[in-house]
Amino acid sequence: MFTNRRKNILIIIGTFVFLMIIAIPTFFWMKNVNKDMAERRKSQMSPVIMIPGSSATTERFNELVELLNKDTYKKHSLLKVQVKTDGKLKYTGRINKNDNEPFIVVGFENNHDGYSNIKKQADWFDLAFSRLSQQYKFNNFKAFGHSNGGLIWTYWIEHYYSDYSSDITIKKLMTVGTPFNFNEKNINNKTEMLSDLIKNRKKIPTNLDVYSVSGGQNYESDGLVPESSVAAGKYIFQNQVKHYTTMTVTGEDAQHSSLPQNKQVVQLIEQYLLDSDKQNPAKNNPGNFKIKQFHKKTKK
Amino acid sequence: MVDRLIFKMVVWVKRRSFFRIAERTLTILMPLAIIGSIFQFMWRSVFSPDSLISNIFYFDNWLPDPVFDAAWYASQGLSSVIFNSFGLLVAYFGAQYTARYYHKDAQMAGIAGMLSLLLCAYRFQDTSNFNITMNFNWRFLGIHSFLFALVIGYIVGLIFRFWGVDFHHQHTENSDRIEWRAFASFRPTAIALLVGLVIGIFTSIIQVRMIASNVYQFFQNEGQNNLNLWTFIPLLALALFLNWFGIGEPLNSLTANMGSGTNVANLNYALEHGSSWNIPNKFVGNALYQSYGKFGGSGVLLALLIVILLVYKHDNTNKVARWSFIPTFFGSNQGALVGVPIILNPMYLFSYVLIPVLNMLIAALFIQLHLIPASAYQVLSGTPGPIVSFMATNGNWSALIFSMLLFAGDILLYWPVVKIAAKVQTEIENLNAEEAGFEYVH
Repeated sequence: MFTNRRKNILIIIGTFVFLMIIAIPTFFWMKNVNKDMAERRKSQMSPVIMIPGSSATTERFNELVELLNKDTYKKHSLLKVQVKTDGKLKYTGRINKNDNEPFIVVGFENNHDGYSNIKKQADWFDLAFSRLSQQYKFNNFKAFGHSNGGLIWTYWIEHYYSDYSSDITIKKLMTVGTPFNFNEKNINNKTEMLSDLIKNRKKIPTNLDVYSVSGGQNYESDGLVPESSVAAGKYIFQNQVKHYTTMTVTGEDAQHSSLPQNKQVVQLIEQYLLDSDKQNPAKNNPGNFKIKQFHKKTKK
Repeated sequence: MVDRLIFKMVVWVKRRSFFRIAERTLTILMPLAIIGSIFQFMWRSVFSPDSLISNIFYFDNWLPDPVFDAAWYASQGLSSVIFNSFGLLVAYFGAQYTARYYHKDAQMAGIAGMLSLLLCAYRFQDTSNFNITMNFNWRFLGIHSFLFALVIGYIVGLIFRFWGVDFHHQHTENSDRIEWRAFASFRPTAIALLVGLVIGIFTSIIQVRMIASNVYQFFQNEGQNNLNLWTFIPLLALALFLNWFGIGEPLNSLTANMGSGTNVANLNYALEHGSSWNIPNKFVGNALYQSYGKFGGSGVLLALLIVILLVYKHDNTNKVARWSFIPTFFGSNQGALVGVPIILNPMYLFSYVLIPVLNMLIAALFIQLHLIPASAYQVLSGTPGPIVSFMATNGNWSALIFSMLLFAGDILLYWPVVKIAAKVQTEIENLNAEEAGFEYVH
């Protein structure tokens, strides 16, 4: 048996030895985290992350990016990420080294329609987003979604974005032909999904700019999605985000599936979504860069 | 001459009935406080998502979520239950020991004390659902309102002193005696409840709670304002004094917030420039306090515990120091505050308030002289005191060495204090023994 005095000395020495032992992993952890934060803080990258609609693949926006690159002085590189149903990521394309505003398309192996699939796709998207944010360490980004891609974005912002909001800012969201009320024409018949999205609208950041573009092939719809379903987005975003702007393009290529290649839409993207080619190029403002919170990532 | 005077004064204060009762109450509650602080340490340092251990060992990568959550909730729950209902126990034992001190029915006094405190904290104006649930102002029932609970307990004990019947506890009680006891305690219990009721109604009507919350709010706002050192230090000294006095909320509020604008500006600057040497606000009071003012919780108690372990001969205090050592090491020092005790113990008042202030001033001087960088980087909750500054400077070695030296200095400062405390303890034990009529043997 130890005497009391021995016990006392033992506990003091033991604790300090323990301190030295945990100081080593603490040191590396600290260096790592601070380096990571510094890189993110200094990062100039502000990608445009795009999600295609149902039944579309990661190749969906090739033509759009080509059109955009034709017009802009700086060429944007294109990275495509496909999320498999088991959560594995498949990359094609790449981000050029000096490209501060690359396009990243995230598509899904299971690209089916329906609310339950959209929830799953939001979860898959989160896997991809988490990896991309670790890899490229951007501190802000812009979001673009065509058709159901806009739904995945909205669902993701409401349910997952808070995990990142302390160090990554979502600056803008542009949805094109997004059916916030699916195919329902009458706004009084709210689908389960729309009700859920409205219920959680308070989680959408208030400094976000949202642009909702609809196509007008005829007076009621873009040939597939009713205009009233696109307009239902106002019940989610209006009075919650900083600006919620709606636009309708008509004329040539205003059909739902043609919208991403529509010249007007391309112009709108250049005008509203992209940073570059403006008077003050790439003034990188990470917004409210808060002290990082070490919240365990909520697993949904 | 002077130290003789201090010695006499301390002994005199410690022998006042209120301080005696405070000490007895603290002593009996020591086990709970230590258990609570051990679980608080597990919660803050090991199982909370922003804690040191869970981060450096990457718990979220390999520990199954249910296990982590269960451990987190368990440690958080146990420490919360203990510390948030601590005031009730304080009122109970406060009243009990006061009554026993004056040879009255201690158990009944304890119960009356507890109920009186509940009456004081009851939300009289919150009448919705009053037949299903009761609403209390829990802030007045927790450990941070120690003094309040103790005063209520003491008053109830005094009521028993003046209106109760002389009483000696016996091992066996027959029904006649129980009956007598019940009738005898009728009057003091009624008076005690009435007093509790009057205080409760009175505070409800003149909104004392509002005033109290405003005072707390004041400390909280000041804490968030990132005061510079010269405004922060007087407030900190006041808050430390109040914590010693058994009012913990001001210290809590003043030193809680770290994520405010000035800190963000500092962190951003440090991240951009790769070090915290030239951050724009070098003398943010709270940042200095976190790094240098609290090795092991408030009042640099880790240094005190080390000295106690090394020089104190008193066996039980030694045990308390051993049991509360590890939680205190990680910054959960409630066990030490209650167990040693520090609260309402005149012996430790000056060192408890002044050593943190002194530490911060020395650190500020060193920062001013450009010998150590200012603290700007984030620190995980439950980081052991002596390495906080090392982390907050992103691993600056001079900051670490400075911390260690400062800590060694604190140990030296506590050394004579503990020596005197040991003497005072012996003296009081002798005096008590004499008073109790035992033969004093050297």
